[in-house]
Amino acid sequence: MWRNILKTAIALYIPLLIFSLYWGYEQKQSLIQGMGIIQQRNILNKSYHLIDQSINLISITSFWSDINFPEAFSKTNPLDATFINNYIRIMQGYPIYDQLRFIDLHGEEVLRFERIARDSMAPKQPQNKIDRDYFKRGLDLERGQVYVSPIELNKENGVIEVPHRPVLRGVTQIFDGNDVQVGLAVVNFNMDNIFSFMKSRITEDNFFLLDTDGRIITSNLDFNTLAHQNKMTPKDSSIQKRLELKNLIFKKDTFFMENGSLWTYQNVRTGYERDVGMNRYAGMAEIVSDNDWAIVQEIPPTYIRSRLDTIRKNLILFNVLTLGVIGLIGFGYAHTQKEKRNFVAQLKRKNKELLASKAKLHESNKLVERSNEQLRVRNKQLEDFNYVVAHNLKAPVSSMNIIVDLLSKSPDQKTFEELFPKLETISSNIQTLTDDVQTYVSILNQRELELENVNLLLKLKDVEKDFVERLLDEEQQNFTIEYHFDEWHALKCNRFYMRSILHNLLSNALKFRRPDVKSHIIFETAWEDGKKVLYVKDNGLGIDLERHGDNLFKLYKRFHRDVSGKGMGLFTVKSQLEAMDASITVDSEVGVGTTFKIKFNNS
Amino acid sequence: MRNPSILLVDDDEVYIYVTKKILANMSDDISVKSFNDGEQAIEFIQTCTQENNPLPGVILLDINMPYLDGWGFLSEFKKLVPKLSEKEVNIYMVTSSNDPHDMERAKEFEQVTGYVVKPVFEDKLAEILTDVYDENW
Repeated sequence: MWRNILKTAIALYIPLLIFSLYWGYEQKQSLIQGMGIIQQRNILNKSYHLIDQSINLISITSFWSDINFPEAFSKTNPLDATFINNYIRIMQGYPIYDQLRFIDLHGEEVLRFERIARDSMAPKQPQNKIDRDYFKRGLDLERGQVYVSPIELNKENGVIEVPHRPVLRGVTQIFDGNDVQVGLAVVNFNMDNIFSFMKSRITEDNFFLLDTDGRIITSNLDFNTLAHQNKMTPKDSSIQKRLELKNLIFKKDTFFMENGSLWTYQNVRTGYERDVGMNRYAGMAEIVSDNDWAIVQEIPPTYIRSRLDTIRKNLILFNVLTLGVIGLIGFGYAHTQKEKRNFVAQLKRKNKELLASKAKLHESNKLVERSNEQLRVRNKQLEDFNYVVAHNLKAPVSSMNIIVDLLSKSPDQKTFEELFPKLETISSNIQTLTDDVQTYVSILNQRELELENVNLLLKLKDVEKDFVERLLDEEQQNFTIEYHFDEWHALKCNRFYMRSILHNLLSNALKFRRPDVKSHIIFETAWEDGKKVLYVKDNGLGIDLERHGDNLFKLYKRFHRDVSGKGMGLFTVKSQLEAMDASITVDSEVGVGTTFKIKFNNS
Repeated sequence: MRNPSILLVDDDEVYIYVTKKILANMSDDISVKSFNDGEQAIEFIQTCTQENNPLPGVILLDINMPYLDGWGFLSEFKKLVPKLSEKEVNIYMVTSSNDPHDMERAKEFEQVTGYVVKPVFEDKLAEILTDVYDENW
């Protein structure tokens, strides 16, 4: 039973488990989706910021190409201090200005200002930049164009400056009053501020700014900006390695889960403002740049896990509750089932007991019925005996009384001689009568009759021998005896009585046959109401039952004048049958035949 | 007034002999006839009615007899009553049985005049004859 309950519980629980897992999955997806979208917005903002700032730098750089520089300034012919100082003063208020340099067409710095403090810039020793890439690219510019360098660590005199300073250089041509190019203006912008904004976290996200080659320009995992331009520490390598993601191959703006983290990728497209038709940057200088930045932001597994924790907790809670409820239901069901079974078992037991008592009662009833029937038969036998005494036994006594009376009245020799033979007749009659009554009484008084299994056919064959002469007699040749013992052929009875009964019945059939027909007697067994029944049928003279029905089984009753007999046969048959708890009835038609039906009540 | 006539129906031959002897002693005028069973007796009655012979005024009928007993005789006699020319047939049941059942049963037949328990002595016979024939016997 417990197994069934377990099965049912599992059957109930599994769909709920699947549902809850699906629900949890959906929650997780939706959470990740939500986080991804937020992340995307966040890095889009960062991307705008970067572009915005870059555009700003370009404008600032571009400014210098519109200034009319004094003619032919050079290392040996420096710029007029008053010309430049006004600009410097303005620049000092913009912390983004890290360096401002004017480089002549030979690569020699003509003027060099460096930021020395937050609000102060100072002139420094000019250097030769003829070998620097940005100088070469600057020479290739056309008027109005601004070259934006990649973000690099600042080098002074060919050596990376320590502490590292990430810079973006804007390069533009500068002209004198006659629109003759006098050199290049190079502005170094300190990217630290911009980066520090971009590195800001809204969650526990990790920020990476990548260059064209996917190398990390800056990240909020390390101070070491542009690590690859210097010497990469193991930490830098590991950070770089983390970004070797399959989903980043196509460099498309997207977010995705990989290695347990949520990654968001956004290309920083400098041309975006044109794409969206914004006029904020209208009339802007044309940009020449190799820069192709991208922002990657990562939400680390720990944070995702912490965010998923609620869902997981809910999931567990739901499952625990579900299991609990199912368990309770199962327990309740089991309990009910058990009670039901107990109840049914109790009912069954009681039913059984009832049936047993009923059977007992039935048996007792049967016994009572049986006893009643036996008593009834016994009573009837007593009545019959009384009848025999009243009619048969009293008759000779009364006759004797009369004779004695006559003799006493006329005690002469003549009367005596006349009456004496009558007394002899009476005496012999009494003798016969007492013999017959004794036979009868012995049957009545037979209390413990010996019963045994008697084979009817064998018994009948034995009885036939009693009549062998009559059966072989030529006149009797046309008398046949038939047996139909298909239903049963043996029964428990007293073999002497059975023999006597069969003898009497066969004898009667032989005696009372019709001479004009081929006579027969049929012994046939049958079942009636579960009792064995023996039919004895003949096609003899038959008896008028209307006349003689009452007397058929009585003592000394005879019904056929010309057939010998003293009227004892059927009387004995009936008595013996009753002694064996059997009954006999008769059906007869004069000129057709007689059928005796014997019912054995104890079979 | 016709002569007294008695019919004895009984299978007890001693009884028949003795009764006849007693009746003979009582009067010479009484005609006595007898049969040993009811069947013979009823056949006699039938013959009497067919041939218009006089019927016995008294029938002493035994109950217990072979072939046709007293009751059987009464049943058959009942059927013959409408055909009888003389109504005065007095049937007395004469039996050794004093079984009250038999007495009750005898009362059911209107043809039965009396019930006599054996032995039947002379005085009883005289009483019966007086009842039927007054003093004329």
